[in-house]
Amino acid sequence: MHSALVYTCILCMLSLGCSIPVPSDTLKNMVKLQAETINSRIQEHNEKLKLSPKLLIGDPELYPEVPADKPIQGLASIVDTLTIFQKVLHSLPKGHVSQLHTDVSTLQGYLVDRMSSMRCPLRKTANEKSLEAFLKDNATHHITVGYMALDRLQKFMQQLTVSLDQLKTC
Amino acid sequence: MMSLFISLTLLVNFSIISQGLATLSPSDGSGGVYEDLKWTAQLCCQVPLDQIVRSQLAATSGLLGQCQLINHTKPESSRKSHPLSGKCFDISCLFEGERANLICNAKSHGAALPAVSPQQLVLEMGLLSNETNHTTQCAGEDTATCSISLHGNDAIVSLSISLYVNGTTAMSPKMQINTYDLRTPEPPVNLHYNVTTEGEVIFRWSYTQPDSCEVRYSTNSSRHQCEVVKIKGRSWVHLNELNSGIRYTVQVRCQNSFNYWSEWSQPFYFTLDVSYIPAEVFSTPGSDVTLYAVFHNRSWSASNAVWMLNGQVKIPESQYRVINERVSAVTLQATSPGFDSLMCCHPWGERFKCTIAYAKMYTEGMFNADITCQSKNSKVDTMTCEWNKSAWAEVRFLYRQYKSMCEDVLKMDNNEDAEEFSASVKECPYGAGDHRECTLSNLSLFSCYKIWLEVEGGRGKVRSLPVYVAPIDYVKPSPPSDLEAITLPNKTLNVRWGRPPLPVYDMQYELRFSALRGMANMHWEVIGPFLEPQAEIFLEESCVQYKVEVRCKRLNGSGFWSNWSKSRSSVVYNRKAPEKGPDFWRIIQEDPVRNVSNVTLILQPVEAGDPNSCAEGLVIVHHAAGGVVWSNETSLVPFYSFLWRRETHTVSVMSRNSLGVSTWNSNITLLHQPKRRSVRSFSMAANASCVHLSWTLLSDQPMPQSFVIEWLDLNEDPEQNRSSTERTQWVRVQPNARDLCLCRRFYGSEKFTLCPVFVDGEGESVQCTATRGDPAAYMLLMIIMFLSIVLFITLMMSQNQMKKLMWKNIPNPYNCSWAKGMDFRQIETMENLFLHPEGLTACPLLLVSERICEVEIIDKPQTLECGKDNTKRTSTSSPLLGDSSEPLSLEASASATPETSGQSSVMYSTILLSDRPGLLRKQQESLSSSRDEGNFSANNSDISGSFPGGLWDLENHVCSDSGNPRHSSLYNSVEELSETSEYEASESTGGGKDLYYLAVNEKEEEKDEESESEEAQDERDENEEFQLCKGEIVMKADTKRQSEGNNYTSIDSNTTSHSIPLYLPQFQTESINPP
Repeated sequence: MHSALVYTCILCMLSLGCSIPVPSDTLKNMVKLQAETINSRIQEHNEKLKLSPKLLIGDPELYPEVPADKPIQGLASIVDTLTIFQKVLHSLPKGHVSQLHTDVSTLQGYLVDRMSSMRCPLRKTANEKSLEAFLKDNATHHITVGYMALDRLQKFMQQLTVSLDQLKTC
Repeated sequence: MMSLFISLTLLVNFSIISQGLATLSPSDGSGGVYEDLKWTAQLCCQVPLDQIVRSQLAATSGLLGQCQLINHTKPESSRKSHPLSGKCFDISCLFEGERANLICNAKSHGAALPAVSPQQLVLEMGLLSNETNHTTQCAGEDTATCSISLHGNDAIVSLSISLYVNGTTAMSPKMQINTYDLRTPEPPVNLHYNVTTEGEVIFRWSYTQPDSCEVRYSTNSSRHQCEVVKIKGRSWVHLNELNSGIRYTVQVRCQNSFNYWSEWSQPFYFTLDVSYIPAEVFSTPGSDVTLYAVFHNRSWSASNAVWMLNGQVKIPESQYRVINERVSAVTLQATSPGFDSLMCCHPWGERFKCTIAYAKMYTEGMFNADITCQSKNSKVDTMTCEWNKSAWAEVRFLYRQYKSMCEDVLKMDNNEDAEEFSASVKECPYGAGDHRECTLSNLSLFSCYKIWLEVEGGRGKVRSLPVYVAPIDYVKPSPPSDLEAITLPNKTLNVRWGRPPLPVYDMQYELRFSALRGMANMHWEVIGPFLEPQAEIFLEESCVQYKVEVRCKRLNGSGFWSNWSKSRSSVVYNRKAPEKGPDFWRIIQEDPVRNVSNVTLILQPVEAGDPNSCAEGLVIVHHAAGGVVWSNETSLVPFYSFLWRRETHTVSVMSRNSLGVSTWNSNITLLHQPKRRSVRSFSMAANASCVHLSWTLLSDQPMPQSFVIEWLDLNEDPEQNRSSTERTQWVRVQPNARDLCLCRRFYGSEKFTLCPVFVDGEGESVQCTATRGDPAAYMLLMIIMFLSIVLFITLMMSQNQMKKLMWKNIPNPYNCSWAKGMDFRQIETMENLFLHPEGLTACPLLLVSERICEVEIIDKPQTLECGKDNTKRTSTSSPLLGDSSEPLSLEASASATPETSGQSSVMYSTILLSDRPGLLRKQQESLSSSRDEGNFSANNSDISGSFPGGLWDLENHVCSDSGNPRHSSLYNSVEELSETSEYEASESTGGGKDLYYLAVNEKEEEKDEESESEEAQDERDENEEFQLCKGEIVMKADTKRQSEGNNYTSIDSNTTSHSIPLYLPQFQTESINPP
């Protein structure tokens, strides 16, 4: 009787261990490469605007609908933030941003797969209505909205590349 | 009878009701009341009862069997005015579900009349607007409920009630219900806000019947604390108290004419930061445009506003205007057609803080977008067009294909502007967006395409100047293919290639080639154009392999150069195998951990010999211990490395080509055993640019096969980042050579290694380091010397200055007894008194070179003998002298010159006893030339140690003879002075032996010395004494001698009983007076 209980416990532990795969370096590398690719594209995109270096567009304290300096707290928070950026990119005119949209989508795909393999609960995007209203209000200012959003996305990507250990947690 | 009566009553009632219905309109509810989303009415029917009742009713009203709607405005009074004692019903209608059905209910109220029962109540509802006349009926006793479907639309519903009592019927007037009035009013729509040029925010909405509305707004942070504003009679409100940078949520609701409140409108979110008025402006070139910017941020001041054009250029402040504290205006002239953006920012340090809002300015007309196109002729003909326009503009890339030549299209296109809007106009298939290029595919290369851009605004659009493009004129062909190249022995590079099949027009070609010498950076040389797909290039040297590429372009007409073709290395043509392999040397880097060595061969370029036998590569053949042989093939590389296990290993390097390997090859044998020593010496001499190396060999060793001189190039250029292997230089020297002159850039610290190479291996190498002086070092030395001289002169001047200052502090010497009769105005007097400057003690190392004391002692043995009788003791109190019966034989001669020392030259002499001639001679021999000048801190000299109480032989002065220089000694030791001073100090208290010091002046005549010394001796016995004046001990000088200016002094031993401080000037004025 006791031995059966012990075996059962061992099997339970083994099954638990098998169901939580350890994030591999492959994922880290893929995320890092994709994030750096996104950053490079953003750099190229924003440089084409040839804005005066004296200009500061989009104070981080303003426009909270687009994440700025949002802390990275596990996979769910990363996916949540990427979802918001995806919506912003989707609202912008097609062009080079389309490629960025694809890149962010790819990155998001990696992380969502990882979340499902780790059985992490998906988080519902907060302030969705505010974001939609913001995008609607500023639909005619897509150049500056795009510039600001990509600038914030770039910072987020930089933060992500140095926080790859967060891929281990939900 | 009874039934007849009821029938008549009902008929009368029906006629009255029908008249009443005619007066009622559907809009007023048809007898009912719209309240609380219900339609309600009250109906009373006079029904036939028993005879008593019937008669009473007939007497009072005569309304038997009648139903009457009670006035809904005054239901109570109506009832009183019509005191029907019949049956009354409350009727109500309301929506069922989501306005899908209208449901009506009739319910009797009041006490039931016993005689009325049994009864039946019937409700009939019908849609008046429905042409199909859809009706429904429902029945009940006291209450009846009926529902009719509205099919999702508003409708007018008719309602009638029939009451059946005892076989008779009483019918209500026909009622109508407008379902629109049952609805909740629609909430306001089209919420938006405007900002005036004065900075006021006006919030607006749309509503059908603006009567009374409420506006509520909140921030995200205070969602449950709304500000509510009541508005009457208008659909706008001022919202001037809002803060900037905060997202507000605004909702509006209004009442309709039935006082029904609508639902709150959909929330309207907005954030106020900077508003532009107008947000979009269209202008024409040359016209002035004024734009206003309203700062909703109260910390931003319009007086500090900065306007930026396209986010790049700051608009001059002279074009700004401050409307009020929060509103700034800018006026600028629209120059050329196109699109521009304007941003109003606020200074933030050195930068400008801007919001994401910006104003758009469209200048009508056609702008120049610099559209350029390049077409490709391939499986699918494509054309990629690029333009240069502000990225702020969202452009549409439009084009139209013509079937005519572009020249013809240009002529007829001026009159068909409207044609662009026809169906033949196409847009970039992928959407231009913020791209600056668009690729069109499936083109007809020979058609004409008209291409232009459009920038659309809210109220119009501006267009670019169109370009007319025939893709064939802008074709970028595919690069040539099938490239072949051969380097011929006659110094010719022969190249052939194939032209691309499309386009079919004539081509011209360009060729570029670069020598393959293992260099990292290719240096291309371009030649052309060639009209045929072949070229022959004359070279400077043969046997060189080249990398070759070709490109092509349309010969006649415009077009683009193709990309360079794939590279091809030329084949070097040979008729025979190479004759000679390259010379090489080795670098050995030992790896003690793995017990192996890494050997790198430094290969010299293969000498250009016969052009018919060029080397194309190398073969390195290894002969290891045990007869193991293997080889490696490589290209003409400068280095080749392999591992060596420290066993005997022979390496030979052969040149190779397609026809074979070289026969005359160099080899090297690597030995780990002790090497033969054959070089005796290895030296070098270097000048500015050359190093001359020379060496000699040991005679007992065999003649080496050659010598190799190796050194490391010290030129470490950080850009080249060469390794030590790459910087290693070497040269092979013939075995009979014994010297070598290397002229190249050396850095002066190269280490040269000479290695003799024998047939069976290397001999022991020797090293020599170049030590060439650096001119910079000489320059540095010269500078230091110059600075030292300047410092010395400065110190001299400061010393003089100090002396002057010291003189000021000297007390009046006339107050001293010893100074009586002296004339201090005379220079000689002063010099006699203060031969030692104050600086001697104050600053002993920085003294002015002064002659303080000079003693000249001349040892004259002959005179010594003959003068025995005349000898007098210089001091009877001196034990030494007292015991000595022998005269002193010493002549002191001291001379101090400024050249010898920068310090005060003080020379003292030790008086030697003549009864120790051996000792004296020995001292003279060893110390005759010693002049220990001015160094007070030096160690005791032998002189001072040997002669602590040296005596002065007065007889020497009598019989002095300077003709014997051998006996002339100068013992001028400051150490002596110090030591003896101490000694004297101790003697002064203990009454010990006396000590004499001499302060002798220069340039005395010998004959004067004799006589004067005698006189000084006499007078010393009598007169000498020390006098103390204000803490300074000054030796009293013989007045006679002083007056004569003679510095010869004599010291009376008696005076040593006085306390004499141990500092130098105390001795300077003592005179020795020979008897």
